[in-house]
Amino acid sequence: MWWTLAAVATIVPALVLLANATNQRPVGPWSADSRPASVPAQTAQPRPGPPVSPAVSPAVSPSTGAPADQPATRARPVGQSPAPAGGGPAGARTAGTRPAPFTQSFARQPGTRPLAPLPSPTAAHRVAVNLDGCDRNYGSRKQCVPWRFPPGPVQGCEWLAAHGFEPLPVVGTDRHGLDTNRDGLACGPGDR
Amino acid sequence: MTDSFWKPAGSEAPGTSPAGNEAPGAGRALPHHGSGKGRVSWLRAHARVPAAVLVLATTAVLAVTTDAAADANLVANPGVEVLDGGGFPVCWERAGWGENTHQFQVTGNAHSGDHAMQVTVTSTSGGDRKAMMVEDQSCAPNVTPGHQYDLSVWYTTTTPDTVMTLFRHDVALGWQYWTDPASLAPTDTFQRKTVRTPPVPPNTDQITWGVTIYGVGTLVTDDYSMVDATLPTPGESCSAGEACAKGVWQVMPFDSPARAIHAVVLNNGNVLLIAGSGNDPAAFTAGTFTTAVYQPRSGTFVNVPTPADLFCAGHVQLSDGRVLVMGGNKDYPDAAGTHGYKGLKDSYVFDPATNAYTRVNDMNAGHWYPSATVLGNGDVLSLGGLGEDSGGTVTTEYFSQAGQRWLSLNETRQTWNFWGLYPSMVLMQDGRLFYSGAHVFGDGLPGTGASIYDYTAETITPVPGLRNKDQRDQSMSVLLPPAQDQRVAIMGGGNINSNPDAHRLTDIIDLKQPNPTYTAGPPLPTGTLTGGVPQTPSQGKMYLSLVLLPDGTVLETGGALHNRADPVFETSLFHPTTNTFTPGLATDPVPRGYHSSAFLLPDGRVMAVGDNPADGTFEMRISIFSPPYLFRGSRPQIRSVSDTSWTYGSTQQVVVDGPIVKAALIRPEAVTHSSDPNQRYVDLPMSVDGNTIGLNLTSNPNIAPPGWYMLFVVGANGVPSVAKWIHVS
Repeated sequence: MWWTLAAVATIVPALVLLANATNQRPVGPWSADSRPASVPAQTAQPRPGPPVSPAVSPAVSPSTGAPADQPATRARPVGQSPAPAGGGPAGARTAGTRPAPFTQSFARQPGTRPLAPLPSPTAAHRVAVNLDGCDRNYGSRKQCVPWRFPPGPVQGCEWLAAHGFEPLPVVGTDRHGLDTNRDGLACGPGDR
Repeated sequence: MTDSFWKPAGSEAPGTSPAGNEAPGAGRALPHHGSGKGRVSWLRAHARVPAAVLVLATTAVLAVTTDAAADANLVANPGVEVLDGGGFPVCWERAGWGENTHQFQVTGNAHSGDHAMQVTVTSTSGGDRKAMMVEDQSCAPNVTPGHQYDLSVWYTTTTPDTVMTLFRHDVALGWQYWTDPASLAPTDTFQRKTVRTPPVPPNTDQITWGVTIYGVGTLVTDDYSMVDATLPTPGESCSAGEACAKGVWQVMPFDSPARAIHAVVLNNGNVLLIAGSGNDPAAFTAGTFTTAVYQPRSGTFVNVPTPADLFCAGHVQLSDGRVLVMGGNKDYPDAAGTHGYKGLKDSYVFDPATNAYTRVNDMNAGHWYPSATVLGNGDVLSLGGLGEDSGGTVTTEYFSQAGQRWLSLNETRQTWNFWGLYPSMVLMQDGRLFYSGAHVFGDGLPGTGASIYDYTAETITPVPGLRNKDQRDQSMSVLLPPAQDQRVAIMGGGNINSNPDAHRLTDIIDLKQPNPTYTAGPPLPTGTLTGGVPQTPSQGKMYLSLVLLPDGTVLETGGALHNRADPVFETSLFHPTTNTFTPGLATDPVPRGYHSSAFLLPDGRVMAVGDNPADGTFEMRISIFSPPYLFRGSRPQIRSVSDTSWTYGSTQQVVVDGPIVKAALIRPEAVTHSSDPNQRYVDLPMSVDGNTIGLNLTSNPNIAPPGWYMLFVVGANGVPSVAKWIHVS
């Protein structure tokens, strides 16, 4: 029985007992109504999935005793040689001795509200044409004349020349005004 | 003589030595007990113990004082022998929270003496209980920042759901949670658990600790001990000249055969370098897609047939070490401007053992520049990017680890939110995702630019405080070492559309706070531009790389000032414990701007690849950085690891060859466009027994998602070992 899933819907707001109380957010597998079909049936210590929100999970009564898989935790026979001072068993544990994830109730964002939910989309989400910051009016498709030149005194053709560009064919509109003599070649001879 | 309250501490004699119980450098004297903290006088102040017993006990102490070399136990009433008027151990308190049925009692079933502490939880729906040292000036042990302490406790427990928990007193901020270093395995006979604390953070003067029980069962604890275990730093000085402080970059004598736009470190130590069409429309038209696997051991490359244009894909290592690659480039923008980049729905898995791609099922939508975050259960969430129609993709994709497939739309939870391109989603300790604000291209998202995303609840909640949220284009964010501290830093950034100078801003957020807020960190150090021109004080970088290093620092390197232009030559180290940079490391002589990456190799060096300036050329040179730590002495050796398959909450034995100050698992990088939200450094608190060290792995898979990690240990000289590959599940 996965104890942390128990009674998510019935958690009473915790009294903060002391300034040092840590809080643990319940962690558990998917609730029954939303578990993806491909997630395997959970065994003794189910792997935690994404956290379950109170509104989604079914009410489950608190576990009333040690889980059925726990008797194996009485693991060490009397007289066993002591573990090294490092403590704890070496290597992998048997099922039933693996601890549940110890999670904390951090970042609960009290007093804040989530963004309003969005409806299922009915149209494409438009993005800018010049998404990659390149002005495709110039040169070949692998060249990237900046949509906007960076700040500073060096702009336009001077900037392009300083950054490894040769004169460029104007393949669209001369937005930047680089082909002043309108011969189809930006930053060519005859252009200012 | 068993551990008990009366055991003498080193050379201290009862009733003498006012400073007898203070840790060195603790600062101000504690005011409560007049001349000092000799144990007998303190005891008189606190306990209701008849005077006759005091006299008897004092005699016993004098009679059994042995050699003065035993380390001082910093825990007050460590054997919980002394009870207050209410019958509860002095200097201990009942702590915990939540809806659970529990009982604290003093039991006669003790490891030594008459008393032990018993905590029983008979039912729970959440929360925990723990007996903790009282957080006051008198009871809480004093500590020195930077020191490490061996904590030990004798215990029995019927449940594995127990963990040692530490709090610290920050001189400015007061008492707060510090860390939980180790789980305690079930046992019905008294066992001793010892674990070494991480170095005490700055501004800390005291800590308290105890053992937390968070499942149904009974925990008994007794004979607590805390001793200073700080290792001396060897007095050897580094003789490597400038390398001692700055490290060394080397450009390799061979080039990469593929345009290294995507880099994934594999669990066999090789590096997957994916180009696809490599941002070359001619290659795309010709159907020429490339991938190369770099093999550091031999310095050679393997060319891998590439089934689709994986340029602009997302990628993440799955639990078994294969690499899930999703999306990619379906098309470039057309010359007429009727459409932009288009995203593929395709997805593949790359197998490092065979160096081959295998197709898996398609995603629900196309994704060009999708991010991918692995969850605590091994599943993968993939978000963002452009769709098949070159519009923004609003579909969240979910890859099932168990089913090895992308779930269909009706099996997933959607917010229909457009997350932008390569949105950086960092897994939090409770399974939610933190959107750091780091992304690619243009403005940030509307609002604050950062948020917490709860996939299961289908909610997105804004997080405030991020500065310049519309200039975080190709900034880099990272979960700072250690992952347990739940702090994220975001550094630098620009905007390829408005094209200002990239900036130096670093913001840091502590996701342990109830209402996490980004706060200002130190600015990135400035470097030089082409021609050795120094940057102005307002100039920083975009396209930078952040690499987590085995010693717990963060390497910051590379970048450029503008959209595909003006590389910045600057490398530094960020220290998460002090929130400061060590500037002025050696710089990569090769420019590393757009389409560049850097990542950690298993030998502790850092490899840097790529650069794709505006003129359409691509940098094929590879650089490798040897950080300063490699020059400070010999490397510690991991002689053996008892097991290379680790389970959560276990303690794993390693044998080393000398003093070790820390150990960690580092998740290998899968990085592109300054984006690797899965990069993390998981601290492994140590249980030290000479050269045999128990490494304590967290019980929480959201701290260390399943998969392959590089295990590093760091020597007292600060030098890391070469990594051993460990599988966590």
